Amino acid sequence: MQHPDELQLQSYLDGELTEATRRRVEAHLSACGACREALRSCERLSATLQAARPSEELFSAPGEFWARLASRLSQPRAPIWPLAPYVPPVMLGVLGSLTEGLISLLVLLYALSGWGVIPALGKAIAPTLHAALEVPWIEGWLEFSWIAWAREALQRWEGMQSSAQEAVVWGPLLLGLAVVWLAAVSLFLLWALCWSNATRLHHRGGN
Amino acid sequence: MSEPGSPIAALIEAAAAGNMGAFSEIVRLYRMRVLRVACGIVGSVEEAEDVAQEVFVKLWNSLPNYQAQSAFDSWLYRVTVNAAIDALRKQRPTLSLEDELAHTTREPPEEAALRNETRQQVQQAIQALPEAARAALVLREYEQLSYKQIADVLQIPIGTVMSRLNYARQLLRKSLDPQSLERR
Repeated sequence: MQHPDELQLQSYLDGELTEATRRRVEAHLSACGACREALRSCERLSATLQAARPSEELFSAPGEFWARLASRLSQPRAPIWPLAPYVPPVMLGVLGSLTEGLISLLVLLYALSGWGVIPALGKAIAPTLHAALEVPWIEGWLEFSWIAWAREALQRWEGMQSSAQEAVVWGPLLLGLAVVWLAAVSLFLLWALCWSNATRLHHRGGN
Repeated sequence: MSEPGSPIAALIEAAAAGNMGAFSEIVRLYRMRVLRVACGIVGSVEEAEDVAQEVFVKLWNSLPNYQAQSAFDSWLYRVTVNAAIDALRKQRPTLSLEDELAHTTREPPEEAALRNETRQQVQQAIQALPEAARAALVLREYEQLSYKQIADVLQIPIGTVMSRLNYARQLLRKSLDPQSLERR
């Protein structure tokens, strides 16, 4: 066997070699004075380090240690909410799912109105708003200038092409929901990454 | 190892439920191990006592969440090493271990002087090691942990444990007085 290197000698001393390797090293040591001397050097260092191990007399007595510790433990433990880390991602997940559901519903309604199954939303708005403006309590609640402005806006609306009406209605709705959905997804991913780190740290023990 | 049914597992369970008596028994069993490792890393008895207090307070607060994914000993050593390294980074000037050794001994004067001198040299040499190598060395030489246990505590591969130990020992051999090694 070639001379064992320092790492191997140290592993031999620490009892960390496999059985076969340990026998080979021992066979070599029995025949090689230089390696025996190197091993003795490792043994001396190890013995010196272990002799320098801090002994009990250096530290406070067990009773004193416990008394100091117990005074810090007297407060009730902070309540532990094991599900607390899951609340934000669950809420974000619910928000994202709801938004996605609404987007899907609006797309479906748009398609149905395009096929003529339901009235086009753009066309339905004007008569509905006209009727709303004639409800007595709304008429009384809004100022006259607001009502006049609203009626004028409705007339301009009725003059628009139906495709323009559809774009004005559906566009902002879908865009707004898409922005909310993107925000929810981004926050969810960000939280998942931060939470994962915290979980790893927690499982690593204490820091 | 905190296997279900073992005495330590029973103590952990009782302490997690708020039993102070069980927790005091855990402290009694593990106090010196925590103190030795902390002292080896921070190099000061006073700091080591503070670190040990922090470790047991953390233990008290974490026990209800403790899952037996790793041995309790490894988990406790890990918390201790991390707390000691944190303390090292915030270290304020305190009475060093060398000064403590000068004041606390019950041995005959000549033997005490010799032993203290060696201890002081060794402590100085250990404190000069990089944190990572120091932690591995302390766990091996003071606590006699196996390479696998050290790897588990420090969350590093066994190969890294071996190289850190080898590096630490090489540095110590260079910095320690050969005579203090020969006395052993």
